[in-house]
Amino acid sequence: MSLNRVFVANRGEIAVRIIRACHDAGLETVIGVSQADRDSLPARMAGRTVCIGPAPSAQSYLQVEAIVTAAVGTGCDALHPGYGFLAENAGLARMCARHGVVFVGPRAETIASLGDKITARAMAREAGVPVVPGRDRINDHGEAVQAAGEIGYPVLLKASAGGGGRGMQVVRKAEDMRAAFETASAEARAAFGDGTLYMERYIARARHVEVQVLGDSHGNVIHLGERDCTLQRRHQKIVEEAPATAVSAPLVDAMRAAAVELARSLGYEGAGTVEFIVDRDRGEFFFLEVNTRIQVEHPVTEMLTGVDLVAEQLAIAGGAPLSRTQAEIRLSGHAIECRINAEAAADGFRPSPGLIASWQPPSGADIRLDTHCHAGYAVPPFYDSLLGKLIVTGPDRAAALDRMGTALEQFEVGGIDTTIPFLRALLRRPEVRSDAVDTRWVEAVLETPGFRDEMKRSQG
Amino acid sequence: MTAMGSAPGLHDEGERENGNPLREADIRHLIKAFRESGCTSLSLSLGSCRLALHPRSARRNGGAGAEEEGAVLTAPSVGVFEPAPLPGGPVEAGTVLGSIRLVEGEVPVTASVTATVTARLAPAGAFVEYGQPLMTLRPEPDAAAGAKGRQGAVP
Repeated sequence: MSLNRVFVANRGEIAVRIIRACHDAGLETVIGVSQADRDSLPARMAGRTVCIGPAPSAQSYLQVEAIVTAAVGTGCDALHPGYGFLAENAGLARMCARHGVVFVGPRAETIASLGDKITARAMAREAGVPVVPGRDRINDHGEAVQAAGEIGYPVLLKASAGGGGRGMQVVRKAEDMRAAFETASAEARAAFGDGTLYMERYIARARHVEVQVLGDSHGNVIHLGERDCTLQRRHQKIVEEAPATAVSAPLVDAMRAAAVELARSLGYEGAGTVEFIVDRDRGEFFFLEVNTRIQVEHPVTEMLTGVDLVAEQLAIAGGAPLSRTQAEIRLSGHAIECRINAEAAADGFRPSPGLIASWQPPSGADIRLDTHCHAGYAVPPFYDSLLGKLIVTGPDRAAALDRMGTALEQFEVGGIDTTIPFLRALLRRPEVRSDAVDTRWVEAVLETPGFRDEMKRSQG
Repeated sequence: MTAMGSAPGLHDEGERENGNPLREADIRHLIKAFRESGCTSLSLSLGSCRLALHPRSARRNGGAGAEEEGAVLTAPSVGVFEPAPLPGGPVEAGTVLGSIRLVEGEVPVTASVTATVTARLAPAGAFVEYGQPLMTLRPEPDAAAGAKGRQGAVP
């Protein structure tokens, strides 16, 4: 079964990325857009554009039935969900299947079971992958105190249905448990419609390392190395790089093997990312979650391996076997990605939508920019603030960091505030050079008096 | 855990806590985008600064609003247009004039104002986009009060 026409159920840079991959593979494209995105770059690139609803994503990009209706009505035989929005919505995958549209992603039941964090932890444990010590279902405050006593303080309360830091509370002593439990449970209910919580040991100095996997419908599973996404702010990734040079080689090898083992045990089909947390103090790693979609930071892996991950997704969805065996995957050099957002970092990361008056990106053999932006484009206020992703490669980490520094210096955007000045200042920090950072370091450095001044100076 | 993954919507709650007021340019942009969006309300708070936008008079339910010279009824959803038989004379606001069939359900197409259908713009069985013109309406005099709804300025 080979695909002919792909419906792109997303917007922004990832829609551009998917359309390019489809056209490279000789596939036709149709994009479903909101009214606010009718004149966007992906809308102009796609073979056909269909308006699926008004600007707010709840009435357009999150409308499962409108999207499937648009795909069927335009004669599409496949649908690519991108990331965010409905990318990990098993209901969309199921509705596609009911109407003869191939969902570009894992099977609906794989999405559903990995989407529930408690089920995912159980699956990881069954596959022999270490999970953070903790307890799976915490029903009340009393149980929480008892579990924390067994695990040892500090502990982390997390939402079972969660992600992105919502419904998450650090608890340092038993007296704080009642308030933390109630806050986390209420937040989880408000954000995800499900107040179920679980508890994990709190890892104070953590690195975030994730392994990219690919699986096909013929039972083949490979990994394409890892990405280190330790530089985060409030659980939102800022800079991603590969390979994870700050983690010991045996630990990296063990994570890669664990990711493949887990994907194999699930009969995983498509591109996926197995996320791990590495405890810097103990030198241990633990399973966090599996993302059943293409990720924002996938270009890091593409630059390192030469494998086009979106093309692989399309081929797998069409029933083809993986284009390469594990032995054919070679990782060479070092790649770094910076997310460029429409935000005023010096002003509390205030969103900064509006008209892009000028857009002068850097260019060069070792530079890649994934974006939907251009001079004259008005960034709508309705969506995520991601403008683009700047990716550079170098023979080693130091060289890649130098190139990223230069590329950021050359990147000039006028008319709106962007996070470019923040990234310039961040990458100049000695802690980034020496890789002595953890997942909470960015928030700490933002509090230091000198950093704000440095951001202001970097605006030039 | 990705930026786009967690909070599709206006903006992440966490970004607002520093109490920075909106600049005039921001407000202008928000008003323009709000006008173009077809939303019925927008409320935003940034620290101590709050902004609420509403059209001057809320539209009646269903399709598009009416202009003085004649209203265009637009598709309330993407899908297949199934018109009802054309009524002989004027219909009241809320009268079902057809439906948009989705893969599993359907959305009614209703008259936005008391009006007479003057033309059908999309054929039966046509695949239509959200917002695509379906028919033109001539508002009847008693509907004049609500007729300028969509074109109303933002206060």
